[in-house]
Amino acid sequence: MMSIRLKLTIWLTSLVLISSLVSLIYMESMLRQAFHDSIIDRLHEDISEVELVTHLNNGEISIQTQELSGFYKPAYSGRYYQLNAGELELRSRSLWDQHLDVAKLEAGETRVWQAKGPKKHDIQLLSLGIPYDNGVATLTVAQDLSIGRKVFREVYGSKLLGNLAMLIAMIVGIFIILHSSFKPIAGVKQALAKLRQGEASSLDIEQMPAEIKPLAETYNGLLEYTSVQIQRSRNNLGNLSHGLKTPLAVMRQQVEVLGLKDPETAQVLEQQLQQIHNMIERKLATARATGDMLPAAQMVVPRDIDALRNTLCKVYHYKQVQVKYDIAPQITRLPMHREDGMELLGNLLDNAFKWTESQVLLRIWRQQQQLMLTVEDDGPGVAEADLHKLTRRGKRLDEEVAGHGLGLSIVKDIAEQYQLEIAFDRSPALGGLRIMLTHTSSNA
Amino acid sequence: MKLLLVEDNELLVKELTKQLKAAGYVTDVAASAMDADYLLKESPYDCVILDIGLPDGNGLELLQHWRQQEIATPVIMLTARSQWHEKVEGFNAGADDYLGKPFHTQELLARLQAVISRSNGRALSPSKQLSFGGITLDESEQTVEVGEQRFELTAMEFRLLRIFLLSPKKLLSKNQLSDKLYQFDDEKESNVVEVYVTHLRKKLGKSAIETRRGQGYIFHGLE
Repeated sequence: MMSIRLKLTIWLTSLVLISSLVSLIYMESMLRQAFHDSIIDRLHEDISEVELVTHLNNGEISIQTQELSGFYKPAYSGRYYQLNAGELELRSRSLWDQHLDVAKLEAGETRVWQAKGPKKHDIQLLSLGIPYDNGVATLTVAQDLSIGRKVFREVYGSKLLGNLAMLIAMIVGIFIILHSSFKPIAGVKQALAKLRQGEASSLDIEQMPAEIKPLAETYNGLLEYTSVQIQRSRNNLGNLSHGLKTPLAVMRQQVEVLGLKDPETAQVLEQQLQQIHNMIERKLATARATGDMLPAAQMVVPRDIDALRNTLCKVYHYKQVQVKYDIAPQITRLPMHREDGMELLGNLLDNAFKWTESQVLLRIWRQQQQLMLTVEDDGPGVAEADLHKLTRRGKRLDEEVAGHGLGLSIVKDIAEQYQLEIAFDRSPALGGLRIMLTHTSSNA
Repeated sequence: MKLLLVEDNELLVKELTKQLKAAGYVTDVAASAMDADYLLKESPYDCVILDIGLPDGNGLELLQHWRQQEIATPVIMLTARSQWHEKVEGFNAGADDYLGKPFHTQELLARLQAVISRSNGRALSPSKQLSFGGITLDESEQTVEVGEQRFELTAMEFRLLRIFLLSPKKLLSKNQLSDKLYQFDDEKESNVVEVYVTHLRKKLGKSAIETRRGQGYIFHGLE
């Protein structure tokens, strides 16, 4: 879907553009009309002025030019008059050698029109039919339009410039207003990113605009609810398994005692107990792996890995093991619950510690959109023929390849919960077993 | 060798104390955090076996409390909480080892042996046997090798010799020795240490254990 901001930008900008355009066109025609009207009015005044000084009686036809305005004197001054009475034609001096084509009118009739005048300029003309002795004379006044038009263009042009400046200002304004009113949205985005990266455990409601606040509140509520639910089911599962393990420990004690008297029965019972125990460990690890969780509960690298390494060094105190990390600096978190991550990596590293001579290498890096994690050791490794057995799905590893038992089964179970792909091969660097986990993250 | 077992499951305690005794350990039992705290502060132990889920508190907190008070007695966590993040917490709280339930008794004994020798600054030989000055103790068989010869040991002799082997060339008072040989509420017989030192000398040779009058004993081995 198109973003609201883009939509608003497009709509507002086009609205402003269209309204400006319409108002400009309307303005132009209004102005033009007004200009035209003012010229016609002016011509009406001119014609009455000329008519006043025109004498058409008793066979004498004359115009008292000295009574008229000086505009009619200079040649091509732009204001003209012409009187046609029968064969006689009287012209203003300003017409000079030019003459206006005038149609004959009836008495009292007026005509308004435009034509080409002296110097090929457009002129506005007004004619009036004036009755005299034995006919009708036609008095015509004219005005050159070019000067007025020039003025009009200048006026209209400066108005246009002004409008254009306004338009640009408005569009810039729209961008600025939209940008600043959508700033809180960017804030929400940042808050969500923080949440995802685990820097916050809920959205900061105080910073939210009123429109988004209810959404954020609902989101926070939901977040809290799921995290409480997840924690509750984690605790319940933990309690269940811990509750089962102490009776199991008692049973194993009894079985060990029984083994002194009846070794065969004891062995059968021991195997069953071992199966129950393995089942509990595996199911506990997977059932608790909830997949989605509060980011703040995610595994932090390398802090949590340091803790694991220190613990493993204590567990394997009789070995001198060097653990090297190669963790891409931009990776500070693994997208899994800390407890699951600890269980996964704990078992991976435990397996490496078990088999290593002295060196274990842990690498975490991002390749395209994939998060990659490898654990390598310099132990004897696994024979080529057995490698594919490790990879096989749904098989119990402890039945398949001796020595890589319950721990790797748990690793596989957790990996499956988190949709991690797991692969086994020979470590090119250290020569022992290399276990490779690949996470194709959708929101990397 | 004296242990404090902090565990509230009676059946588990009953069977485990039997097996620990058979392995030559003297075991006091505390069924609650309060008892454990009291006992540890009252008498010296070589190692504590500590459960996390106790009726009156959390074993991890108890351990942290001890470490804050600079009580350095080695502690093995024996708990149903055996996930890795829990192990990390256990070691961070100051545990020396961590064993998940259910467990094999042999595994627990091996770890006890390792933790106790480490806490005495004596790493075990590759065969995991305590040895000093030509005298080697076989803990599983409860026998001693003196040069070419091998002797059976009684339970008391075994316990006493193990204490000596863990602290060779060090002066050990009679009280220190008898504390480690008896349970907390046992009646202590005054001359029992002397009796068993005499027994040991018969097997190891007179010069193996030196008597410092009024002070105690020093173990020298065959040197």
